[in-house]
Amino acid sequence: MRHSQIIDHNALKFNQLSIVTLTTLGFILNAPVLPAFVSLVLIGGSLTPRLALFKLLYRHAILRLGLMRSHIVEEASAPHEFAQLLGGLVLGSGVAFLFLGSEVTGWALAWIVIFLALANLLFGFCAGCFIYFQLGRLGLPGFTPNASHPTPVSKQEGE
Amino acid sequence: MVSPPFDRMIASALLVVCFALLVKAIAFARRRALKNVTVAHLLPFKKEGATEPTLLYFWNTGCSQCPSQERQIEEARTRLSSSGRSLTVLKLNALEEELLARQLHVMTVPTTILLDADGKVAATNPGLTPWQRIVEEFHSMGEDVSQTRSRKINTVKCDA
Repeated sequence: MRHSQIIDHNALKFNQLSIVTLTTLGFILNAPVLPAFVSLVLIGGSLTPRLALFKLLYRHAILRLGLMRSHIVEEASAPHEFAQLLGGLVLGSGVAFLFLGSEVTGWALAWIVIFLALANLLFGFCAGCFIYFQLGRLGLPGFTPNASHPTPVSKQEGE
Repeated sequence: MVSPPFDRMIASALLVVCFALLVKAIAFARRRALKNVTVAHLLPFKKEGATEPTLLYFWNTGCSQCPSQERQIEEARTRLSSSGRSLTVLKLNALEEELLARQLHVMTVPTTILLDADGKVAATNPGLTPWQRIVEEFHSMGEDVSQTRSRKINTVKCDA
């Protein structure tokens, strides 16, 4: 995985909107194939940007049609990619339960992903990023982003 | 588990609404709990009886959004100073100032908390906050103060 230091926040929002819409539609139509597709896109997209279909759709269609504007922020992409991978894995295990006939467990896992995507979309809380930073705090290798040291604002501690 | 699409549609709508309401209720309860919290005495650089609004900025090393947040804070300060207002910013390491962070329910970094002149919490912003919101909160805090003052003046006039 190659992590960038510049991300488009609206691309992330479109990604979350796609997760919520398609997974909820899958629940309404009782079609596990839809969350299965979302799960594959999430896992694939976190491994290689070429498979991030929602982000590609955002870049090549939504932006070009002027439906959304990009909101570029200088920020490490690794926590968001980790969150996406985690979401894809939880949704994937939900889909596995659905195909094995355990409907309640399967849809419950799918709804956890929907709720967490909604929390990020509506309230800006990224649960996967939170887990990523907690793992970084525990000192797990690969979990601390290479953030540059913040520059002083106006008064520093100890001044 | 219900199976017809219409029932599932209603169930989905209910779940989403319940979730949004739950999150809103938690946020409201937290704001309410923080409303009368005065932390001026806990601040390392500020004493009680302060006379100017202060922005507490919680950060930590390894926080990817903190450099962006600092640029937003700088922009807010520039905008405010150009309109003749000043905002003191205290940069606090969330891990080293754990007691204060816990008292102010800081769950993530960056978090910005605007304190009024009495050291009371006026606004809390978890996550990356744009300069526009900081400036807006600063101005609305001023409006609250002026509204309270004008109400006091009106009361005096009525009594007279």
